[in-house]
Amino acid sequence: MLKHTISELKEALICLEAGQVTLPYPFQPHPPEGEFRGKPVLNSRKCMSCGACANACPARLISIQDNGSIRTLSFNLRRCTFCGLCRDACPQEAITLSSQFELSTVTPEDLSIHAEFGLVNCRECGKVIGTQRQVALVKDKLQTCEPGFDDTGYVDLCNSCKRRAFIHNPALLMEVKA
Amino acid sequence: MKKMIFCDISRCDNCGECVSACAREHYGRNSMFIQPVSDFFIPANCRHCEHSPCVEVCPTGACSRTDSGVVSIASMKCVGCQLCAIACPFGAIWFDALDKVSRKCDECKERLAYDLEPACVKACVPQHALVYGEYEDLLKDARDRGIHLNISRAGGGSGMLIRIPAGIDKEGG
Repeated sequence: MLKHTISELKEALICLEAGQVTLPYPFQPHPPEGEFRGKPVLNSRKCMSCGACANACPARLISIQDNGSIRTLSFNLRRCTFCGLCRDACPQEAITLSSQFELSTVTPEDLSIHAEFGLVNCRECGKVIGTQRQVALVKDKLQTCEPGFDDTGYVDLCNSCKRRAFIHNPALLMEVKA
Repeated sequence: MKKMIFCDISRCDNCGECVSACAREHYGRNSMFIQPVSDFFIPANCRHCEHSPCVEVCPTGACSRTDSGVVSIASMKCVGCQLCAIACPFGAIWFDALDKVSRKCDECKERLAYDLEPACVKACVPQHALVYGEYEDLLKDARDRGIHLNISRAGGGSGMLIRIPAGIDKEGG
């Protein structure tokens, strides 16, 4: 009996020597380390709503809907697997994966992201060609590249109107000196 | 200089052989289109511009120009952002909603490797609206026949030789 108590006391001493081995996590915040992939965050200032993330998402939780002159980009994060493919696909680097991992909530709105973007319609036929930011980005890139494209007036035309309109544009059709 | 396509708009009669040949060559996804304009039909494919707007705007480097002058989209790198389709002045790039990538004419790279002409040119047999050849040869041939040629281009580079017929609607389009 005494022998047994002594061995128990010894074990208790060993445990005390080791100090605290578990984390105080629920009582103190515990930031994850390194390349942790948590809740996706959309920077709607950078986003141009091109749909690359929606194409890449394996859980199909990113939806893009055109309604009138507004394009709505929405994330339904309840299905998110935190794979990070949307971040990798984004050409604007507008999506980042935060370190937030405590996602349980009583308000479902916390797990969705909505962003609205203005659409550009073809100036001839009215067909949707893209968002205002996409068109502005294309114009910007074309004017600053080398050699610059002086005339980017064709950018706000749809494909079939472009196929017709290029014959009227002297910048796109040059007569060959025979 | 690189070989290019010469397109005689007055000869095209919208038979659609080039479109179906393109679809056969590219697993059902044709990047060749025919656009009716007043009484004429414009075969609308990629011009492979020397300074291509699509290559300039592509954020991932999927749209690139090879040394032989062919502009093509590598579907494995394409994220489907459609910037190239907006930037193309000729409406030659379209978005494949099934595969979620942009697609365009690659001048039948596989056929060119075997020294064959592109499938659309091969299919345009009775009309000869599309002819494939060296720039100088095409120009000389046109000079012999006494016709005016235009070059379809973007950003100062060479593209595709085109004959614009006189009767085409210059204003309305």
